Amino acid sequence: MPIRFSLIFILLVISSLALARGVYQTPRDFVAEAFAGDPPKPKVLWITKKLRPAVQKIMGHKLNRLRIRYWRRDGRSAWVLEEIGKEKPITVGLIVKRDAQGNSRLESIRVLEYRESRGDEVRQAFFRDQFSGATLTADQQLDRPIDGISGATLSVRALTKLARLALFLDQQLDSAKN
Amino acid sequence: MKSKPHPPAPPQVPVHRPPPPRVPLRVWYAWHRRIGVTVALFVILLTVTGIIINHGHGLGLDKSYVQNRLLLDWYGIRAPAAGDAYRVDDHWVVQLGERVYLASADKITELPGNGGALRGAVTLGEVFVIAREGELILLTPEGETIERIGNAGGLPAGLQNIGVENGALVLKAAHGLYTTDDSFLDWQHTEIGGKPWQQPQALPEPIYQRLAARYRGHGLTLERTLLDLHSGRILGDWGVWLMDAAALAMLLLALSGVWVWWRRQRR
Repeated sequence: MPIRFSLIFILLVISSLALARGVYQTPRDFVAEAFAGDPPKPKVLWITKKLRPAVQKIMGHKLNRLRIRYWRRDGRSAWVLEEIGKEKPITVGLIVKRDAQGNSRLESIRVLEYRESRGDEVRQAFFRDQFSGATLTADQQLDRPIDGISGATLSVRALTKLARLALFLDQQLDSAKN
Repeated sequence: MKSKPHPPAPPQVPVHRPPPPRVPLRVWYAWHRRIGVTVALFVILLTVTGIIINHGHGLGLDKSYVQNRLLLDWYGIRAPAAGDAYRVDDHWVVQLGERVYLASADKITELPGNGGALRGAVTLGEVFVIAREGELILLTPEGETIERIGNAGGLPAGLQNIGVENGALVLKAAHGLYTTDDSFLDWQHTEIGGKPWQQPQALPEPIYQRLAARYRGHGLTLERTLLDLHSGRILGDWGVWLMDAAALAMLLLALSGVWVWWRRQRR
């Protein structure tokens, strides 16, 4: 009996490692779903010299692109962003919505592609739900603590940074000529 | 008839067995010392590498690369042959293995992303457009990434070739020819008369040598090397067994140390 349990345990561990990486939704499908199958035309937000310091502060490093594509309609914007977890980029889809006071609030966050061999618990709803309704404070932090996941610290950090970035970028949309 | 009483049992004589032979304390000492001297080097190696690995991310070891040729040779890290190469102004866009580089006379930039095979490279005004099978990369002449356009950006699937026709970008993809607007935001089917497609060219050997050195120099992180040193894998399978033996010797060292201490306490 203990041997049987050990075998089941080993199989579970192996299968969880094998399943960690994967494409869970294509960016195109994410954007389509965000706008009920009828996405608006994309626009781009240029990361100007004015925005760069704040973006760099959020990401902890220089952003590796000069402009970011987004889709926006009726106060809701969709973003497909990437950040490296430990060694490989995690592709994340985010939807930001303006509330009645005009504040940018995170509506949802979803892992679209995970390339690391482990740590993909960040794609589970129990983790992602923590971000729902989050806004940015004046110093560009989330207005709530995000509980980490043991063994996925860097992935948690990456998703938290991307949530902050999407909120910050959404805040710029009205002021920027995009 | 009265039966005779049983005679009393003879008194039992205690049997004096000789105590088991004990290994003298000095023998334990001697072996403890021998094991200690033998594994001292391994203790130092494991301790130092373990502490550094624990702080590897903070120290940036996962982003620092080994440049030592002997070590790179030991790991068998070699640059692959150059794949397709395209000349764009005074730059070369080349694929080596899974990586794509933009090389000029004085600078080499590794392009981000992993969009598959290189399909071509053109300039469009001030923008370098690099086409990979599943991604279009827009660069400034300085090699800075403007944007990577993939599936979400409406890029047609199965990119095969790229060219410029009447000042407009043209793509040949799995389902036909496409062109886009100045901002690369919208893609439409198109028809063209000529064949504006970029053709790969032979890469000059000096450029390849520079790229090969760069490829090798970004193939092995310090963190990987330290992990392999810690586990013994740097010496292959034998190294792992060697570290296992060292770990067992350290276990013996701990046990013999406790044993010697306990025997001394009992004296």
